[in-house]
Amino acid sequence: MSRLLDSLPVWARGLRARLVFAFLAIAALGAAAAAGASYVSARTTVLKYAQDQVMDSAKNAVNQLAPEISFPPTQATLDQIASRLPGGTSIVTYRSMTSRPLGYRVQDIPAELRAAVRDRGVLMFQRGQSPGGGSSTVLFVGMPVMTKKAGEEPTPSGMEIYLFRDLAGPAQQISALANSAWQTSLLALPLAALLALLAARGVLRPVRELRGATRRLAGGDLGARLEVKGSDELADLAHTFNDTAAALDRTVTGLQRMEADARRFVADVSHELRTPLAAMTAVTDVLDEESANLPEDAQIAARLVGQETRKLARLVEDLIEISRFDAGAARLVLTEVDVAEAVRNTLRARGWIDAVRTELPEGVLTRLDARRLDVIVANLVGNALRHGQPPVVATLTASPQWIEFSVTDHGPGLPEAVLPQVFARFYKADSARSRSEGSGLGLAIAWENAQLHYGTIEAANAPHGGARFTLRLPRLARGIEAQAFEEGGPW
Amino acid sequence: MVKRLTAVLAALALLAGCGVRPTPPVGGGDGPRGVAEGPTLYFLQGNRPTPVVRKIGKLGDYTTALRELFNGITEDDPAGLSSALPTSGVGELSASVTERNSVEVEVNGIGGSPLPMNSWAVNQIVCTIAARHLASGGIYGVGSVLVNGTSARCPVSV
Repeated sequence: MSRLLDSLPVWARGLRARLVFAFLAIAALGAAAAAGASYVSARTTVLKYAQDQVMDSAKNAVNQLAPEISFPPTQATLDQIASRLPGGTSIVTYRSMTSRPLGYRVQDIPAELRAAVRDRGVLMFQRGQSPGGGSSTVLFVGMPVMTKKAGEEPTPSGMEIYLFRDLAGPAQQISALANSAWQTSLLALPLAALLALLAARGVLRPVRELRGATRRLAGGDLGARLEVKGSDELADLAHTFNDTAAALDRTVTGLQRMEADARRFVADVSHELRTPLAAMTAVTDVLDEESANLPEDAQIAARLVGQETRKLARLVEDLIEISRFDAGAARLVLTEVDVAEAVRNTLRARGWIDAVRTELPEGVLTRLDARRLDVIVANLVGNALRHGQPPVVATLTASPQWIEFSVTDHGPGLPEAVLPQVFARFYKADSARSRSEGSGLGLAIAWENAQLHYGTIEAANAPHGGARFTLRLPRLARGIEAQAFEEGGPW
Repeated sequence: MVKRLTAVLAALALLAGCGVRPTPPVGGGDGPRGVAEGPTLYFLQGNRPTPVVRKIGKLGDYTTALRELFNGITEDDPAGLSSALPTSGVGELSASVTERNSVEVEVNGIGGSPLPMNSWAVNQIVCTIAARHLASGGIYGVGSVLVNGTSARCPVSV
């Protein structure tokens, strides 16, 4: 069945086409059967009527003549009877005598008919080929003329009368009937097609609605529901769809709420930590200044406290930054920026200008958020310096639509398993270095910043083995600015 | 595949049934009646009507049979027969089939009034007319033969 379907042209594979074909096939079969049946019955009726007419009229004519027929007959009597019977095709026989032939001979009458008349002694008829050699079918009638003795059943008198009639008239009538039967049954086909289309519409409309609702659901409209009409299988399907959508809606809403709660919690905690941390930072600064006056153990402790406090402060800042992205509160502040200049400023500010080999073409001007670019560049270069091996190469390329900034180191590169995960929060590629300098949020923040510019960061390994991070930013048109403000970012 | 085969077979069956086809000989009822060497007349043997075929060369009509009956017995007939029919004062004779497929027989005297007859004579007339009626395919039953307006029956099977 499926192979048959695949062999059809595309337009004929749809449910509608299949329904129409099926209906038409059924209608055609039904019409053919009806036409055939009506044809057969019409043929039977017409033929029977025609034959009965021929036989009755012949029998009546003989009945009329018989009392005046001299018996036993002479040749002259036989000739006379033959000439007086209507139709002009009669042959009268009595024992071995035969009336004078009228254009055809007694041999032209089917022998089996004559034998049957003689044997059975009743009127017989038979359809056969015309004795004139024509192709048309004729009706042969054979009649034994009966005689009756007192107190007995009638017996054949020995006189037999044969005649035939052309059936061209009835045949024509029959073919006319057949044609009209066919034509009438052909009228059923357009009707069947119409019905099929109506039926298809009834089936396909719910299917179309279901498709539309599914698309809306897939597009994120969890409120998409179908109107349930009737109580058929399609209504069942709609009902099931609604239940599914409702369950999905509940689940997703619950998850979203939980996620929002978790994020709010992180944001709140980060904010709460800020104040005590500010105080702690101030204290540790004092401790650092005073550490020279402390005993050696206390010096070490003070330095340790200072380091960890600064790390904690950076972690809290990063967390607050991330929670701004999550809350959709991050905004782009776009200005016209010379990218090469911006990258150099970042490296200079961090004191990395001598540690990084740069290939920065001048004059690449594009609109972007300079502070966020600084964050991204600092993060990528910082990672390369911390985790990779020198030389670290920073390259800028530009096309009319995109700028591409990549940072490559010459270290061992990233393991394949790690590549998909590097932008995840708190993901540490090197489990042995879980107490690294970073907060574990740097790449995540860089990625969010790139996203805010409708850009991407890709992590990959350079052909020579080092890790390569590539930032791709679209050169934003002016329209993006307003859009970014309206939407609160790309997501 | 099966569907296609069915369709082809159906089409073949339909095509095979087209047109007017030859048949073997088929029975179509009784043949016509009415040829005979002459009418069957009934005379009396004792009191019993007895058939005699009067060979006039054809069956003839009802009135012919009636006239032959009134003509009486000839020397060709078997011995021992008699006739109860009146031989004198017989006027017009007629017998004809009505539309109701019964036979009305009128036997008049010279004056045109119905001729009185005894029951033997009526029996002879009724049997003769009934036999003639059956000989040409008529149906004989109660009330099939009226003699001078009165229904009568033949006492023997004709």
